[in-house]
Formats: sequence, structure tokens, C-alpha cells
Amino acid sequence: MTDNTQIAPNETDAATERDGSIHVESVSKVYDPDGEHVVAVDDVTLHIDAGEFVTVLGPSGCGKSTLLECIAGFTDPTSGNVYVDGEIIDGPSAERGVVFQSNRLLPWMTIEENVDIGPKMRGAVEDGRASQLLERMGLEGTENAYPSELSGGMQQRAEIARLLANDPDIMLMDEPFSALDALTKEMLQEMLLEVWDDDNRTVLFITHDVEEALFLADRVLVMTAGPGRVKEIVDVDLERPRDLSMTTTEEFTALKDRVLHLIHEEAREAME
Amino acid sequence: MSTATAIERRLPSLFEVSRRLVSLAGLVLVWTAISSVGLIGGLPGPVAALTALVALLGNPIIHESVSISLLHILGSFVIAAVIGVPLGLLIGWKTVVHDLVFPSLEILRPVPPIAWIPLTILVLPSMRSSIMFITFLGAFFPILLNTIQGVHDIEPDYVRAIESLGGTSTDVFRNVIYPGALPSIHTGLVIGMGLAWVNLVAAEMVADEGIGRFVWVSYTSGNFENIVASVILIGALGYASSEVIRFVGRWQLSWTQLDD
Amino acid sequence: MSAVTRVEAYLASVQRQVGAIPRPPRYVLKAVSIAGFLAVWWLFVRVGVLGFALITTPPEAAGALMGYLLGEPMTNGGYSLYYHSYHTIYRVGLGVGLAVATAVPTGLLIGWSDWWERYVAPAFELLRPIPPVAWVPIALVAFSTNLLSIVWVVFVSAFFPVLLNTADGVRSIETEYVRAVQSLGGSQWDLFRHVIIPASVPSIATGIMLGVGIGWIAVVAAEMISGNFGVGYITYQAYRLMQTETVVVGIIVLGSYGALSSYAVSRVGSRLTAWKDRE
Repeated sequence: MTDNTQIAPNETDAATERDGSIHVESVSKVYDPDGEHVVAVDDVTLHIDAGEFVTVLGPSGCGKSTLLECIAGFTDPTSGNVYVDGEIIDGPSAERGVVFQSNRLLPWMTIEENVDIGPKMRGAVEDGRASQLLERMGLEGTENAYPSELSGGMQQRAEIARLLANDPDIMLMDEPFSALDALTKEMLQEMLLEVWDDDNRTVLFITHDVEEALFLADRVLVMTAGPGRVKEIVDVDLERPRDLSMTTTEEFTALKDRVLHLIHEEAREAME
Repeated sequence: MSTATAIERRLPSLFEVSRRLVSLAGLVLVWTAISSVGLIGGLPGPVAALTALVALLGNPIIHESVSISLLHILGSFVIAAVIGVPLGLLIGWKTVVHDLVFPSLEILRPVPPIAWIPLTILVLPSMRSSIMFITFLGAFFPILLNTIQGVHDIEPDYVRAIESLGGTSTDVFRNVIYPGALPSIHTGLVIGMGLAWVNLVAAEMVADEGIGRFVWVSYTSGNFENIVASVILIGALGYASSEVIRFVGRWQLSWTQLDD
Repeated sequence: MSAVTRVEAYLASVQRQVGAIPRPPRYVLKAVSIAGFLAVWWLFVRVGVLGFALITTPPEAAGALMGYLLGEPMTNGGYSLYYHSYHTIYRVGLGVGLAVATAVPTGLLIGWSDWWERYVAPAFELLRPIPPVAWVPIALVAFSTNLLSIVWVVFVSAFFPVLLNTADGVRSIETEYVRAVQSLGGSQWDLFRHVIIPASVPSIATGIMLGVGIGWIAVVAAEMISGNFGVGYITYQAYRLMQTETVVVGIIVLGSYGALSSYAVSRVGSRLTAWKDRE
């Protein structure tokens, strides 16, 4: 990877011209452990424009994480293909950064080493870059701490800093805030939106929290469970920048009711 | 269980030391009682054994025996670590290597290392190489198995994290597989050192060399004080070599101690 | 989608399938591994690498093993494999059994009570670093019979791993479990029965696994040094008589007993900790 656009010294300037469109073309993923045929993702087609923020909402076990794994390149789809900027993906890549559900900072490295690891592996590590990113995430002074010394929320912010250090066009986030307490979660949601506003990266964000999905996204993809299919894609035409006060507006509650209705309908069908 | 005891363990206070002395005194008392009542014939008491130990420390024969044994231990242990750790990392990381190498090692593993000695005496060129091979086997399997286990216990998402940050296979090995397996490698090295001594003493008694030979000769010549004294010496040497490994481990694994 | 991307998509899916073909099934690789081991053994003997010319080939060893399984005496005019096995297994069983019977209660006490931890544990810590086989001459002096001294050495070797693992198991029990039982009105005895013992079973099992392994080393060494029957004794005796096929059979038999006993311990262990696997 010697793509020059990957190293953007000034995020605000680079904001307008980023790649990072995702196209998922009839992707299915079937697991076959001990001859048991389990369809995790069933024929999902989805297009995400560069710079768009899309959340995927669904009950646990609906295959939303599998979908993310296919886009990240961790697993090959059984059929169908994933395209990024028009090219079929081949395994994981630095252009698609991933934030994991439970913290996956490397426990044997300090926070600074963790943030620097991406650039270091590509031979492009800059002095002071890690501190700059940590400060941006409100983590100044944690450089020499080990991950286990930080709280859950701080760890998750450090993981976002690690991803930003690589300057990927796409951020794939797999329920990154689900293990946090409500207050920390809200704070991180606002922080993530700021980062997204500044840098204009494409974000695919997986969650099972309806409010979180609507608050963050341009579009919400509602998935059905077993097998995982796209039930509906809901446009969220709420103005930006957003802050948490808008979660009490009439517009927001109307959207929330609509999505909840979709989910309940789905749950009823599943029970029959 | 509490933090207070954890700190006490690292920095033994005077109180703690005196408790240990009480425990030690109890042991000596039981020993004295057994030997003076004559419950077990021929067993020397603590005073006789300690006198013999002091005399032993100035004895050139024991110096030679101890240096031979330490050479055996050092050589075998280093070879076991140099082969066991890289092989364990590969077996744990790559399924193909696992399937091709591990089954034949699994056939050999349940054999108590000392059982090989009649065969190695026949096959290998010298007694010394037989003893070292047995000692090597004692250390090799714990190191190998713990290394493999260490790799298997690594959270797969760590590998994914490195891959999604643009890391190659080499990056995964250097940043995840090796450091992730390190605590378990360390456990393997500590257990391996213990079993190296177990097998060394056995092999030296059978093959008649080093400190094992000294213990056995003391027995056959009826010098019971020297038996007990040299057994104490072996215990001290074994303990010291395990402490060296533990010390290196603590220094290498500073990040794991934060979880305490 | 353009024709070009469609072709690309097709090629990518073909490549995925091709990429999956070349690796043969795992059991084939494992069989290759074992066949390779036997082939190397056979080759070494034939070519005479180091002193391998003196050793028997795999088929010869298999033949000898068959003969001994049919009850042939292992040395001229000597005892059968079954007789030697009986003595060795009896010594290991008795030594490990005594070790478990004493080390488990002691370990529970050391792990649970500060008093035991402070005043009793250090004495054991002093004895622990002595390699078990070094006890052989002491045992020979101390005990009048051969059986007792070998059993003592096995006992010592199995005792410490069981003791340490039991105590560690108790120490690592979550305080919440203890408090839960206490707050439900449980007595000290209830605590022991419903929390301490079941929660430390997995580490007790680990300790017994290790103890049995070292117990086998101890019995073989002790028999080689001072026995007059037993599989360890006969393996070494066969070397003196230059009956190399008997040496190889001895090693195979000892390996099988080692494997069988650790399999048995792990089966019992996982039966007792069935609640753990269902998590």
C-alpha cells in the first residue's frame, strides 16, 4: 500500500476528496459445522456511498457481524462479492479499519505503541502523531499506560485513535459501544460523529440499539434474523451536526417508532 | 487474596520472615524427632546433616559433580527452549505444521523421559549425551505444549485487528503470536526447568555421572549424612535455577502484572 | 454491473474455490506424520545412524510386543510382561493414591486458611524443590522394603503438584460465590461442600494430571535404580542383556501406560467438571 491519499497530514483539507464506497453484491454466508447447514447471511445487496454513515440494526444472531466480517475481509462470502471503490476485496486491508465489540487493543503494548502499530507496519510512523490523535480523543497523557490500566470507554477511544492513525477511508465498527455504560456510550457517540464530520470517512456501524442506530446514521439497515436478510433500509433525514438533545424531538421519536414497529413485526413473524 | 497479602508476598516483612522461621522450626523439630527416636533406621538428624553439608561445600569432588550437573542442565535446557519455543509457535499458528508434526510427537510424549535411557545409551555416542538427551526431553515437552497452548489461547480478534491495520503475516507473528504466547511460554519454561532437574537426577543416578552419581555413591558407601546433605544441595540448585527463569519472566512480562 | 466486473466477480469466486483445494484432509496429514515417524525409525536402523544399528526395526519390535502380550517371559527364565506390569502399576497407583488422599485436604486447608498458609505451607515449600528421584537413596535407607521405598518416591513426586494446584484452585475462587452462600445462611461446612470443593475440582484435576506424569518418571527411575521387577526394571535389565527388542517394547509399554493413565484422569476430571464445558 503506497497510496499517497492514505497519509493525510491535515484531516480537514482531505475531507472533500476521499474514496471509500462499499458495494455488497448478493452476498451469502453459510456455515457448515458438523454438517449442520447454518445460513448466517442470505443474499444481501447493499450500496454505501463514500463518506456515508450507515448503521446496521438487528437482533443478536441475525448475521450482522458476519456481514461486517465479509466486508472487512476476515471471511470469504460463500457466494457473492464485496467491492470497495469498484474493486473486489481480497482479505483485510489498511483502507478498511475495524473497531471491535470488546476491546482489541493489544494488551502487551502501551497505548502509544498500539496507536502507532498501523503506520509502523507500513513503515510510515511519525513522531508525535500518536499523542496528537490521543489528544483528539481526549486521552492525553495515556501514552505509556497499558490497555488494562484504562477504563472501558477510554480503551474504546484509544482503539478509534489506533484506527485513525492508519487514516482509512472506511471505518467498520462492530457494536463498539455495546459494553459501555449509558453515559459513556452517549459521550462516545457524540465524539464519533465529530470525528466523522471532520474527516468524512465512510462508516458502517453495527448495533442492536435503535436509538444509537438512528442518532448516528444517514441510513439504517434493519436486518431480519435467521437467516440474515435486509428487511428494510430507513433513511434518517435529521439535520447535522446532531447532538443528544435531538433524541427527544418529535421527528426522532416518529422514526424510532417506525423502526421499533419493523423489529416487532419481524419478531412476531419469527415466532410463528 | 487481598492487596495487602499480594504486597507482603513481594516484600516479605520481618513478621512474614518470622512466620516462615516458625514453619521451618516445625519441620526441623519433626525431623529431629524422627531421627532421634530411631523411627527410621539410619536417618541422620538435622545437625549431622547440616555439618555434613558445610563439609561438602568445601569438598572438591562435589565442586566437580555440581559443575558437571549444571553443565548438563544448562545445555539441555537451552537446546529444549531453542527447539521447543519456535516449533511450538509454528505448530500453534499453522494447522498444516500441527497436523504434520504434532501426531508423531504425541506418540513420544507419554513415555517417561527416563525410560529412554537404555536406548539412548546404546544409540548415542557417550553417557553425557544420553544424560543430556533425557534432561532435554524432560524440559522439551512442557515448553512445547505450553507454547502451543499459548498460541491457541490468543484471541483471534487480535490477529484480525493487525490484519485490518494492514499487517502482513510477519506482522501478525511479531505483534500478536509471539507476544501473546509469551506468558504461556514462560510457564512452560518454569515447568520445563523443574522437570529437567527431575530427569537429570534420575539419569545421572542411572548413568553414573555428576551430582546424581555423588548421591548414589554416598548411598552405596553408607555415608548417610552425605546423602541428605547432597539432596539438600540438589534442592537448592533446582530452586535457584527456577528462580532465575522466574526473574527473567517477570522482567519480560511486565504488562501482565497489571492485572493483579 | 459492467461485463468486466462480472468477469472479475466470476474469477474471484473461482479463485476462492481453487485456493481451497490443495490442502488434503487433516487426518491424511496426521497419518503421514505417524508414517513418517515409523519410516525414519526404520531408516535409521537400516542405515545405522549413530548407534541405531543395534536397535530393532518397527516390525521386529511389533513382533516382540506380540510375543510378550501372549505371555512369553521377558528375559530368559524370567517373569512375563503382565507380572512386571502388575508391580509397576501397583506402585504408581498406591503412590499417587496416597498423594491425592493427603495433598488434596492439605491443599484445601492451605488455600482456605491463612493460618495453614502461613505456618504450614513454607515447610512444604522447602521440601518441594528436591527432585523426587533424589529421594530414592533416602527412601532405601528409611524403609526396610523395596516396595515401600518406591511407593514413597512416587508419593513425593505426585504430592507437590496436587498440593500446589489444589491450593491455587481454592485461592482463585471468586469471593462473590463465598458471599452468596454465606448470605443464604450457609455454614462453614456448607461453604466447603458447595463452593470450595466443587470450584477447585478443575485445578485438582490438573494437579493430578501433572502428578501422575511425574509419578511415572519416578517409578521408572526408582525401578531402574533399585527394583527387582517392574517394567522400568526389566527395560533397563534388557539393556544389560543386550535384548534391544525388549528395551523398545518396554518403552512402548511405559508410553502406553502413561497415555492411558492421563486419559483416565482427564476423563474422570471432565466428568466431574461437566458444568464447565457447557458454558
